[in-house]
Amino acid sequence: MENQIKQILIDRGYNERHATLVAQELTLLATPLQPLITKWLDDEQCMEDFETEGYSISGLMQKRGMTYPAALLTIDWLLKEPEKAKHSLSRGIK
Amino acid sequence: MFDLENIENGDHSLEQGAGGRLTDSQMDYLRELQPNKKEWDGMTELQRDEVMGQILQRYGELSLPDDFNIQESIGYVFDPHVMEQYERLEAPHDHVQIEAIGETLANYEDLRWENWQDLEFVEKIEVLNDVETQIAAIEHRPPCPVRTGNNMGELEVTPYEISGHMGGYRTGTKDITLNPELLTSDNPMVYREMLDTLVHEGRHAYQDFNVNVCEVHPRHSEVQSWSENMAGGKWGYWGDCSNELGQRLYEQQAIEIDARNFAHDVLNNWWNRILET
Repeated sequence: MENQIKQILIDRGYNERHATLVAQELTLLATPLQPLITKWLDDEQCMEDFETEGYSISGLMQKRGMTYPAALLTIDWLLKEPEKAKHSLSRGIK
Repeated sequence: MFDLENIENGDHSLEQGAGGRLTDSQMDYLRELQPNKKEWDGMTELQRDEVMGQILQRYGELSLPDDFNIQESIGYVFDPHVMEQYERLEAPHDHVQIEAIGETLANYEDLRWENWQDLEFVEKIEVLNDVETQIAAIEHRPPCPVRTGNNMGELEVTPYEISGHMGGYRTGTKDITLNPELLTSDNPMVYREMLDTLVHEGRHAYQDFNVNVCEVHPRHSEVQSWSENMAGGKWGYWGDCSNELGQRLYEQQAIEIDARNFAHDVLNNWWNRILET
């Protein structure tokens, strides 16, 4: 499964190293997010939204230029470690 | 015993001579890098650091025992000008750097909030370049030009947080770029963020110098973890990659954790000094 995800990520513009890391993380997504990644892997255009702790997938993509998988992983972090994730997101990029 | 075959095969774990001293052949191997005085005098400080980096790399290849005294050995193997360079090389430990940079920031008159606000934009750039030069000297690395970037977007400032693209360090051009809004804002929170970003990016310059030019950081294990994090290393990702990896993987890079903690400690040190005055 991980290898299939990795290949799809590479086909959609990721380099091999980033694809390896992200594919590994995507297999460990929190339960509510699993159907979302399954749909996106089937169809790149299918980007279902999800909101938690005041952040949404669409917002992370628009405001922070994240790809759909990157936004999903960020929402996953917000679900699993909300305080740490919010603190990190409240800092700027440097 | 010196083993030429091992050298040719890329294995430089050479056996040491009696008493922990190098064998003649080991010394010959090191002395291949001996620059003559004329060449040395014509080198820039950065080129000299690069030669020192190569020399230290060769010492590393020899797999010498932990208690081997490299300083003593350099004095024996190389000419005095190389030894002088080595003595200047090692950077102070982090806690000493943090104290020194905190003090530099606190004592810099133009950098004080009440004075800073009255400076023109160009003057602010000059001040930041001067401060960066002083920070670089403390960290035993060459200074980076400090610039403002054109396409860094707007910062989002709320009473609780500042988000957006604050700045960056580029390994190719060895410069520090800051979001111009950090310099023009009349919000003291943004001003503090500017200082934090300057120190943070300077630390990335320090990491880059240690990994790619010459190791001056006193803790080798930390340099190794930075090396694994940087492009070409074990993980091969560097800097802001949150747009592809998500916030957590970006946040947890060894080089980011180190730069964030270092800048945090420097800013705390600076702030305590400001409160004391």
